[in-house]
Amino acid sequence: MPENLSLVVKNDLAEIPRLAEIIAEFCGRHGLSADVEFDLNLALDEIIVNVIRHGYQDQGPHEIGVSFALDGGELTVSVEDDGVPFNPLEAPPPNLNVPFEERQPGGLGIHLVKNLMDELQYQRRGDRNVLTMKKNLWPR
Amino acid sequence: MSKDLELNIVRNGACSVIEIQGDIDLKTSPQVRAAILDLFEKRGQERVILDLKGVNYIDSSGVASLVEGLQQAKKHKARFILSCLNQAPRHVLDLTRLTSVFEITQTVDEALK
Repeated sequence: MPENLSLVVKNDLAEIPRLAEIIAEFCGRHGLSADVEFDLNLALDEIIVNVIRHGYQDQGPHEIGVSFALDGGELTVSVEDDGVPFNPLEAPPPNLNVPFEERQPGGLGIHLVKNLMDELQYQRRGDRNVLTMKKNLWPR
Repeated sequence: MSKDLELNIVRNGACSVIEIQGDIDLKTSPQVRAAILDLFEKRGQERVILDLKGVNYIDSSGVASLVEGLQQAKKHKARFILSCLNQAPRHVLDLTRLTSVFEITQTVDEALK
């Protein structure tokens, strides 16, 4: 039987700690490991911060939808926003093979999300970005 | 996250230990970055040790501040050491292929030798 949770966060960085509390509560209720909770927190933190910082061309309020669906050994997390079109799957990967001195300090967020989650899908639906992430709930 | 950050800097000659408690994320990483850069650029420290036993969460902005710290250390021919890494921050450094780039010690005492 799937277990679902949907919520809305505002485009305000102050929402991130509230989201972390909701993730902790969700993981605790369903007996998900601390590793899974960490990965979820970090992936959602990176995605939502990215939306808030780069997704909007105005200063007005926006709503970002977040949903969790737990089904057996798989957790599906979706993030839906009305920001400018942005497909994180097409973001150029950071070059981690260059000598350290030449590394750029930024650009690691999307790379982390791709590695923390097992599957990512992006769709542009009307005026909304929909990012769907799947996580296998096996210990790492 | 973020849990409020506490920084405690202990200076002993040309060596400093920055004890960090809390999350290193978008909100708090500028504090960490500023503390590290200050020690290398203004205070001429030859060794800066980050005591990370109180850190259980680090995001990409936090990693970027550590990368910048190491780049500053190399620029000043100094050492920049991460100590007492918990599992989750180590996992993030692994994913960004930085574990082998940083000097990492199990304890602060080891970093002070």
